[in-house]
Amino acid sequence: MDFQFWYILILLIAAYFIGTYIEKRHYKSIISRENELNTLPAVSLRKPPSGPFHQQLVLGNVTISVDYFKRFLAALHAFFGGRITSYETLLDRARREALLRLKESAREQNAALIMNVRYETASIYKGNGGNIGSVEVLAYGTALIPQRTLTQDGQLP
Amino acid sequence: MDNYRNPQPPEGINTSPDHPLLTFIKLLAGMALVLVIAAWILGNSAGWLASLVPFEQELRVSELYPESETQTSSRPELQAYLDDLAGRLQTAMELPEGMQIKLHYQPDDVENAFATLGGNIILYKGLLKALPNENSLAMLIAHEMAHVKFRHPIRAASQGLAINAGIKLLMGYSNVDILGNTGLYTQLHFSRAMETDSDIQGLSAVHSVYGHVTGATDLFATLHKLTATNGLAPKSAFFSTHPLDQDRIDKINQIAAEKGWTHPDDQLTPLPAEFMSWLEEE
Repeated sequence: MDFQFWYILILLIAAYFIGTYIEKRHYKSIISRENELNTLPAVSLRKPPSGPFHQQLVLGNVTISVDYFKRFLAALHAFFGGRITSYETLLDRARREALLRLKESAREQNAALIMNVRYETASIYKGNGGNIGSVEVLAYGTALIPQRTLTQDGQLP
Repeated sequence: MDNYRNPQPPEGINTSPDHPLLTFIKLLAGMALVLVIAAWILGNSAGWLASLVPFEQELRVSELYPESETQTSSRPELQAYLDDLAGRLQTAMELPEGMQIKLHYQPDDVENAFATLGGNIILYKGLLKALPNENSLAMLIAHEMAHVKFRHPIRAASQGLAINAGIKLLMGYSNVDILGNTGLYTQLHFSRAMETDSDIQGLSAVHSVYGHVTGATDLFATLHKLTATNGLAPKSAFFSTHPLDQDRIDKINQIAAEKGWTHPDDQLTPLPAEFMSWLEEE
């Protein structure tokens, strides 16, 4: 029992520092890429603007796991109730990262606008003792690519 | 296309600003509090329930431990002397019907004595050697006997058992033993209130037997002084489990004064001359 206690404590401390470092680095990357990609709007509207557009399905998908510390914290939250604050950053990061990947995919195809953006969320480890530690977020939408950016024979460049 | 824009959203809308470490400490402290309260309720209710268990049942539990059978037959004189003293105290204490006291002498140099399940009282050589007279020995036995009378051993054991079982079940263990590895020689932890009750009851029994309380009231003070001047062990095992402070001594003296129990200095009963040789006998 003593051994178990120290084992858990060391894991918690290691997970806290490593997890915090990775999360901070990820947020930094998210914010800088968002600033860069904000010139390409992604909206949830379904009615496309008039104009000659090529339409293309674009996807952005990400799977992120919480660290051991946050999972432990979530277990405590699960006992007392209330907001599981340790999972909020997990989902926030996953959603933003998925949208960024979607935009990156659309930009590669010279899209001018992404319409009808939707999110799908799935928890990985489903059925593993209710211990949901990882989350998958899929962002998908329709990229509108102006016709003029297509090549002579109507193909994407 | 200018109608569509994606301005950078402000940070911190979908996340909480609370520091995770602070949240962790708060939740852990809350959890610890819940566990402490649960253990307290569990222990107290188990102790209360245990005091309703008939002594015969307690005896059956204690007989599961082989040590309850071993009488020190290698020291018949010592056993006879101790049993005779205990018999006189038992009559004075008016133990309930069927409550039997069994004294066990342990020839170890531990300065300790305690009562455990089934009316078994364990006396160690180390402590007996340190006693100056029969009155203090009588007080010692009477004190432990009072624990048995008040059902303290089964209450303490049940409290410990309930809390232990609760923790073990929470941690996922299923093997629950009442007294642990050392069996009947396991020291049970009595509360301060239990000790005080036993002091008073023991003192009253000693007064009934001898007609005064000389030697008895001094027992704890004498022993405390003895271990202090010895310089060998600042605190013997007996005092680590029988917390001794001025409050306790004052309380004993106060009770003696209230009841009008006297301390004549010249009426001490000495221990038998052979007592020391009985203790050392192999």
